[in-house]
Amino acid sequence: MLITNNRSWQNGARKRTIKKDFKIGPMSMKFVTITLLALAALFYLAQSAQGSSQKYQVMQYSAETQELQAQSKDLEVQAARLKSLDEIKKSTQNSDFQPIDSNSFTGNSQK
Amino acid sequence: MNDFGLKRIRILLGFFVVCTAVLGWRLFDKQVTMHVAYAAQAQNQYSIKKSVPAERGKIYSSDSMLLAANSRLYDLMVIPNYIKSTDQMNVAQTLAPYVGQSASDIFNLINNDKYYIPPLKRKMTEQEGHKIADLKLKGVSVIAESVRSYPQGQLASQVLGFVDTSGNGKYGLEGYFNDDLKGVGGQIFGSGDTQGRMFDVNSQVEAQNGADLYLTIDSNIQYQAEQVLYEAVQKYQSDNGSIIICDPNTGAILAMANFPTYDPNDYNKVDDQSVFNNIAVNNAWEPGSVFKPLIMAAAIDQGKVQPDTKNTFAESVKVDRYTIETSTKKAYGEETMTQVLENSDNVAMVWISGLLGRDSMYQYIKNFGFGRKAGIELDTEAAGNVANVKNWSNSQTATMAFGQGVTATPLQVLMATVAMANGGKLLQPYIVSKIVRPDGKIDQTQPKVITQVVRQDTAQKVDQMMVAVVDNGHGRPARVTGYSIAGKTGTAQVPKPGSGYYEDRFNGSFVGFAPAQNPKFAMIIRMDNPKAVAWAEDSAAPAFGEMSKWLFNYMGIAPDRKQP
Repeated sequence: MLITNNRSWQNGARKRTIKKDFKIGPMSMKFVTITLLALAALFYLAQSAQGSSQKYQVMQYSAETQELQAQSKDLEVQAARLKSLDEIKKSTQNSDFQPIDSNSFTGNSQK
Repeated sequence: MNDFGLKRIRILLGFFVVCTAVLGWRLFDKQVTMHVAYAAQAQNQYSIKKSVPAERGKIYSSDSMLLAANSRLYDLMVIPNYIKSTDQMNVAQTLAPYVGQSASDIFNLINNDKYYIPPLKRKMTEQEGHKIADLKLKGVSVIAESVRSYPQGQLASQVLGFVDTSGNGKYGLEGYFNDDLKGVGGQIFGSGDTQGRMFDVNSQVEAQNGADLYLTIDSNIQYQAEQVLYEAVQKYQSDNGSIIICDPNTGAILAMANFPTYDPNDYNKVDDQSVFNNIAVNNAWEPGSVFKPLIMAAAIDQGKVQPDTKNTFAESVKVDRYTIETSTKKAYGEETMTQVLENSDNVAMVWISGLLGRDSMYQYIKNFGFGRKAGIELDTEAAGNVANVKNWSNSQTATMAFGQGVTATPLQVLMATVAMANGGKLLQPYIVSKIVRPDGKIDQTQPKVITQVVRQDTAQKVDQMMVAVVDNGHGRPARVTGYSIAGKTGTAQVPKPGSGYYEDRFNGSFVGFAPAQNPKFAMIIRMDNPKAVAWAEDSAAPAFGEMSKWLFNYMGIAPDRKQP
């Protein structure tokens, strides 16, 4: 029985590996390093692009908010215009209201 | 490998080394040496700066009616170059019902290859804009434009003024408070994409919006005053007219109306720009007999006369080379000072001016606020004119006693008369109740007493004399059943350019306050050159009575006299 910690073998000998050492050679290390750097760069680009699209979304929401605020102000002005005394007078002229011809304090409260 | 092969490899190697060196140098040159320049160029390409306009402050009445605000209106823009020549007639026909022009007129405007033509229609509402935008016509777009809007139309137009195309206020409150209302614009600095859209904000300077103004003007009183004035001007065929109503206890202006008027939403359509002037504060005139109670107050305050002092007066008096007559050219005989005001006796007022003396009279006229601006917060206020006492002739001293030879605005006359209503105090008139800043700070206006012009008892005496004018004298048309009203008419001659007065032109006015013992409002009405009637008692006085009646009910003022 060959007891070993590596992948070496011998013809005709049974082997039991009790411990393995993981070794990377210099060439492999270069490839792994380049791959990791590329993955990191890719991740950064992906996040950056996603961040930019989020910014567009934020700017769009901001523009929509401003538009809604502007519409709210427009409605306030329109409401004021509809409540104006001129508008009310014009609308009452089309109705059957009778104008007041006299107004005075009621009752004989004055002694 | 033989020597020749090695030599070729060395040559090739040397070539690659040279190329690498050159490339390396270029890289170094671009990325290190010229880094700053390229960074700036890149910055320039994607940096965007946008202006953030400040929102102009709003103006409210005392009853929270919105008088001036900002809104968006829409312009219809057409780019003829973007419309195929074969489609232009179709576009013209489609737009015609929305624009209010004929299809042929529109076609003539767009039948070219220009990139810009003036808007086909301006100041459309949002609904109108959406209808056109929904047509989705190529080359046709609807552009939003921020405009100053006056939702109440003509209401208090000369008090408000307007905002011109450059965003600056003109006349009235818009002009006087332009810096407070306008605010300060801001900026946003950010990054943009190739289409110019900003996707990131790097820094910004916040816009500071304008302050909001809250007025002392009551929109209902203002509206009614404008109606009464309009009807009076039409009825008596006046050239123009003014009404001012104020609180005699504080000096707050409740209404200020002029006719003719205009709609500040369409200020650019006005032909005669004199209508922009607020003649209630801008137009100084010789007030005539409305001046008499003030001179009478001065004489009583000096102890020269009392309301029941009697004397006998003729129909005329000669001063220097001038003959001064009563308005009716008849003698009133023996009169008390109260009756002098009831009859509006010019001859008696000349006698009073003699008792008072020119220096004393001048001092009281100045103390009443004449000859200087009242200081109300409105653009284009006039100061009127009071000649220096050193230059007064005997005749000038005499005529000043009945309001000739001095010019004053309706506001000045009103505030001087108000002193009789509040125990003798000249108040500072004001029209802005508070200013609310964008940071929440509130500047509240407090009533201010400028000076104690006459003693309290003097004011009360003149108050009662003015009640007698309305009960018994020329002010009778101003009466309202159940209420005591103190007032005085004034029918003033209009001076000719140069010297002298027109024979056939007069200004009619009425000034007063009510109820006499506990005044809640003071008012002046002035009507220029009423052609249908000659005297103020037939024009300004009835209008005063009509407006007073409305005010008693609106303000819930109980009658202070027994009703018949």
